[in-house]
Amino acid sequence: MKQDKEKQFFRLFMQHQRSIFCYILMNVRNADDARDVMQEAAVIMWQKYTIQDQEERFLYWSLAIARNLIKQYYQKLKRDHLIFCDELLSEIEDRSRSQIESYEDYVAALRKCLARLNARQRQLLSLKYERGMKVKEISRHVQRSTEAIYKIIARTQAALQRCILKSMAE
Amino acid sequence: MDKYEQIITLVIKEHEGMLTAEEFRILQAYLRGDSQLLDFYIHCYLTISVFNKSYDFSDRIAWSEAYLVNIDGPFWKELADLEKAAPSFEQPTPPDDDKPAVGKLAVEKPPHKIKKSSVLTVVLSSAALLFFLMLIRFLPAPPVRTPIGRVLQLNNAVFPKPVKMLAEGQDVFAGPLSLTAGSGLIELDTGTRVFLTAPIEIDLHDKSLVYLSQGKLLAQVPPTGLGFTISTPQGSVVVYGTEFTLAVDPDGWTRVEVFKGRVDLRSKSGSPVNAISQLVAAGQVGTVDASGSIAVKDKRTSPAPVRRSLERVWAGTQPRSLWNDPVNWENEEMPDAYSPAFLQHRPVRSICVIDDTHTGQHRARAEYVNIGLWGYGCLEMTGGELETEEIWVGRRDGGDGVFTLSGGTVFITQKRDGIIIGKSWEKKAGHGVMNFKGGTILFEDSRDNMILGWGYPAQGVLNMEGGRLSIPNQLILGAVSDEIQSPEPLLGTGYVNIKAGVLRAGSLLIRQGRVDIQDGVLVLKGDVRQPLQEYVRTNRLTANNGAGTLRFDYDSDADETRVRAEGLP
Repeated sequence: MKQDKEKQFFRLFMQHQRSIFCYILMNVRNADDARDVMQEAAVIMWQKYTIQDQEERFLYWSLAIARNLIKQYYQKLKRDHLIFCDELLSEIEDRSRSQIESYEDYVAALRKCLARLNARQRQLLSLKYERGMKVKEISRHVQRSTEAIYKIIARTQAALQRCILKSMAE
Repeated sequence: MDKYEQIITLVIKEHEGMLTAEEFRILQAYLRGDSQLLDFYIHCYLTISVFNKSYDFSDRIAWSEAYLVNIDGPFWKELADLEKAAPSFEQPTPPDDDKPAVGKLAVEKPPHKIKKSSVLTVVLSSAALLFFLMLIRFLPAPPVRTPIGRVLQLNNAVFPKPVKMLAEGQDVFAGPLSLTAGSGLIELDTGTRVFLTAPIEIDLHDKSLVYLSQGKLLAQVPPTGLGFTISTPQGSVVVYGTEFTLAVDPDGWTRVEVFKGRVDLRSKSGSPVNAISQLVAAGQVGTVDASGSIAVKDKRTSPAPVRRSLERVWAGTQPRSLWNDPVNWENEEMPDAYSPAFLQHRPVRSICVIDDTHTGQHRARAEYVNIGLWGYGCLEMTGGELETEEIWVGRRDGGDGVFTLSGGTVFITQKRDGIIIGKSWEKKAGHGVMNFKGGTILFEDSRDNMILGWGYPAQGVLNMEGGRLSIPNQLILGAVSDEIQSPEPLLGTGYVNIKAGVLRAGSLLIRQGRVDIQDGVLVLKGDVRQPLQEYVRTNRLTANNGAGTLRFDYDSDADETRVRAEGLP
């Protein structure tokens, strides 16, 4: 019985962990903090998990746990951090939840649109988001001003986002 | 820059934690007033999170296809192209009125009288000049060779004739390089270090591209060496990470073993854009066979194709031996900023000591330090200086480490994992103990943590016996295993015993384990009395092994909470 539970949990966890992490990152908006919240969520999910007949509920159950942890995260931050007003946070939470429902479509659109960027644009986004380099580090690395790097990333990503929206609407 | 580009700029700043209060106010105003912008903002983070590989265990191979296009040159050239393609910028010219007035002086020229001999001289001189110009034009220009790196170290290296011998400190130029015996360490101008072991044949194209036709090499690539590529007859390796070995076997296979970070292993079959490619992560071995097929396996299930060479292994023979004496290291090779120190006392138990003599140019240095890796290891620091990026105490299968600090200064120089005490691997425990009695640990990055017990069944213990220890970010007791293969979030366990002294941390996270306070003080940032009470209620924070009570004081001026024990044990 315990083995069945483990098997089911880890299969579902592996299946949905990227969506859960995306949801957390969209709401926390800081990669280090998102990883911490994800760790906490994984522990709680494992502790509270019971075998489910309806596997499709796993994602919503996980997101509910993540949502509580995100709330706790903001409660801890309240003292000296810049936090959006409650109304906006709740709006972001609602919209990010609905985005997660179409996560696979979004990833497919993103892949398609990434292929339309040229090599240097892809390389720049990879440095920034995949390798996690800060703009300052990239600017040092390529010996260009930080302002120039901000501009290039902003233009590239804006084009990418527009392409994704168009692609998803088709 | 339009509104959408402004939003992205603000998102980047927010994501990096660089958003100012003013920029935050602007961002909030944008998002509250426009639901389209809010959707755009959320999409930006969705894109960022898809790029983020932290939890990308399933579709990374598919992702690699997006990055297969070869980059022809260093990245800055690509950006220079972007700048070239930018709209031209007209340099304003000052109006004529601003030009300085320059007067002409009228001079009457004397009449010229041309001699025949002068004409002849001019004709002959012109012919000679034309001849020299033609000579320069059609003769091959002498090659201008600029060095692309230099030789750092040679160990009994033998170069095949008629190739010119290299010497330590000598510049290295583009071209073929072979070794028939011994080994050598080359540093390219990008900071990439390549360790060559004979027999080997390579061709240095430039500082970012090396062709390995036969043999094996080990490469350490710093961030400045991003994009470093080693090409082989069967494929190529493009670096995303920092340390790997690559071998081309006589049987026509290319093998890469990654120790840190990851590399993109590409087969030469297929077009450059649609080539077969797989990421090889730390702890994995990737192969490309003669037919161009790629396979990636865990290191433990693959035969080790090459010997790892850059770690420096402790070989002290006395009960207490000094770090900065080369005889105490295997092959008398001491660790430095580019090589890790492995304190694994085999076959003799010998404590590695760092004392007052380890200062200035004799400062102990290592890329990172493993105290107790697959066995017992012990480091005692009574003075002097140790400079490293991270310290692991008790790591992996059977790792049993003790680190005692009573004096001197430890410099943790980069944001990596900080100090980790007790780390498991494949569910096999590492046990670590740190005894802090004095001295100083300076973390250069404010995000550095101390983790006690990382992954089940690892255990980490911190004994505070005096002095002051300040952890800039989190003190974490019990972290979940980070192994990709781990089927479950397995927690390690951490224990902190504050017998004396002051332990200060940005925050405290007890997932599994306990903090017990006897005679010392625990100081945490902010007013955290309420969450600490929860730890007390669940026996994760105790006084005198549960026999005493705890007192919590919040100092609003310093914005910190101090915890002390009350009552006799």
